[in-house]
Amino acid sequence: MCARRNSYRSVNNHKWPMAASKSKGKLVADLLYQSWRSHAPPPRINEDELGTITPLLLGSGAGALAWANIRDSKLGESSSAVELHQAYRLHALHTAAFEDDIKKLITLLRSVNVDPILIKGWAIARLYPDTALRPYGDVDLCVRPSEYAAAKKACESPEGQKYVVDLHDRFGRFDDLTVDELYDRSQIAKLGDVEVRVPCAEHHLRIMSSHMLRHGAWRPLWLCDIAVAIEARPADFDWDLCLGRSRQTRDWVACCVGLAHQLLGAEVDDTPVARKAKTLPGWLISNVMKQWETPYATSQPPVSHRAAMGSYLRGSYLRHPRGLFADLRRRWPNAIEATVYTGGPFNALPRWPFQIGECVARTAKFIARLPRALRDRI
Amino acid sequence: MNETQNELTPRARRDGLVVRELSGELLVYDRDRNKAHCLNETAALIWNHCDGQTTVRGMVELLRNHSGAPVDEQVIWYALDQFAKDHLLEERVKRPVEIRRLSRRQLVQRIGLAVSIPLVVSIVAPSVFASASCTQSCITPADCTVPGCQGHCTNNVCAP
Repeated sequence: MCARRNSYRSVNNHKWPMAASKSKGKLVADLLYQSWRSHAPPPRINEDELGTITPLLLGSGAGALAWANIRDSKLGESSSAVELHQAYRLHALHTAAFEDDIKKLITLLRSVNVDPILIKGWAIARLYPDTALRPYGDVDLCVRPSEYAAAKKACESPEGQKYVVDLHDRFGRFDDLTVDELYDRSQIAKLGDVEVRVPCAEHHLRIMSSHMLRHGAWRPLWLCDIAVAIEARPADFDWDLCLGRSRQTRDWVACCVGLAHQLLGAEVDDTPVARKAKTLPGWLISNVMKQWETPYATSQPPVSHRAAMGSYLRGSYLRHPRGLFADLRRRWPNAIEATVYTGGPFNALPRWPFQIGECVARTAKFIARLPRALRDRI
Repeated sequence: MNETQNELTPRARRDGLVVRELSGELLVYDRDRNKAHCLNETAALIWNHCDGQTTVRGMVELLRNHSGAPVDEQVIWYALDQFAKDHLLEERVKRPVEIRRLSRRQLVQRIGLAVSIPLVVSIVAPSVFASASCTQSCITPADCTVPGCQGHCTNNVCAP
């Protein structure tokens, strides 16, 4: 369990370990602090600090949210504000275009008797005060396994190919939530004149939590989503349903709620995970803030890898062992992802055993995938 | 003044455009060209009246009523030029030969600041690789199986 108390304090007195000079990750957290609220508190950073993190905000999709947070403050006059305002404008347009796409896509799928559930993207953006604050790049849809083939065919049709769709019919080994359970509790939300099926608030918070941890929590916007989902939850929110049956899922959701509380100031006092939320392991918070210093997909594996591991086994790469070693270093797993991958607990224990475990498992998988002749050579 | 040209009724393009109004600005996203434009209040007023029915002369009247100040016909032509350049009109409207093309500076010098100059500004911001789902390693395009990233392998990474 996440037992160790550390120098990170609760948001009420909001003291941080790096008092002398704030890290970029900390600055991002400070700027996005409660930024999803209609009446967000004044920004906690100065103009120079804003200038430092503006590229991170723009590159990670948090530019519009940052703009909304600074526009009525002194920072709204800064040169960074011009760029953030542009991002807001652009996101507003992209959002309008995507909303149109979602409507057409869902109508297309319903025409082949598939009723998909929209997850993340617009399904969470609609909970923000303005959907333009939360950009999204693809449409994540979940369908019943029996409907998957029909949905895939529709998405691959000339009409369906106009849209960037990520189609799912299961949640993989990282969550014990089944698609049938998701459908049973799903709800209808109105997007203009189209009814869109979305997960219930409980399942959605759980899905977003496991998604964020699985990807190492590198994108600040994912934690904002979780904060929004916590604060916009309905009065009859069923925490047992959200936390799930397994210890692991409970652990993940509680950690994400805790991160949203400690880094972004989400209100969690009236939740059953409040105690854990306020006593997260130090490595988790520092790891997330470290991730937020390079919140770009290009900085994340496998995009950050110089080459696929298999290619190093080919002749030309073997002549450049330094490249191989550099790439091996890049493959050292992030502590969060390693914990998720190995099914470890998010407690105060050191992370290196999980990171080594993840490396071993990945290497074994890599060798198993190699052609037999190559395996024998190794 | 060329009466015929002033009776022209420009028509704004609607197909392939996403339009959103935000605090006094009109944002237009051209899906065909993947370009976004921001129209200030004056440009938005003119563009919104490019309905194939309102004449250039009518637009001058509309803008005069809106601003409460005299409006030079050049203001309308300046806006129409920008719309045409940014493909925001169904078809380019031919300006009268006696009305020469003015730069923004020349327009300000000529009409002063009684009416704000219609501006169409391109919106440029870094694109966000919003989908984390596309981060799949590959050696050949066939390795890219995630929907939305299929068949595109660049530097050993699938791309949308």
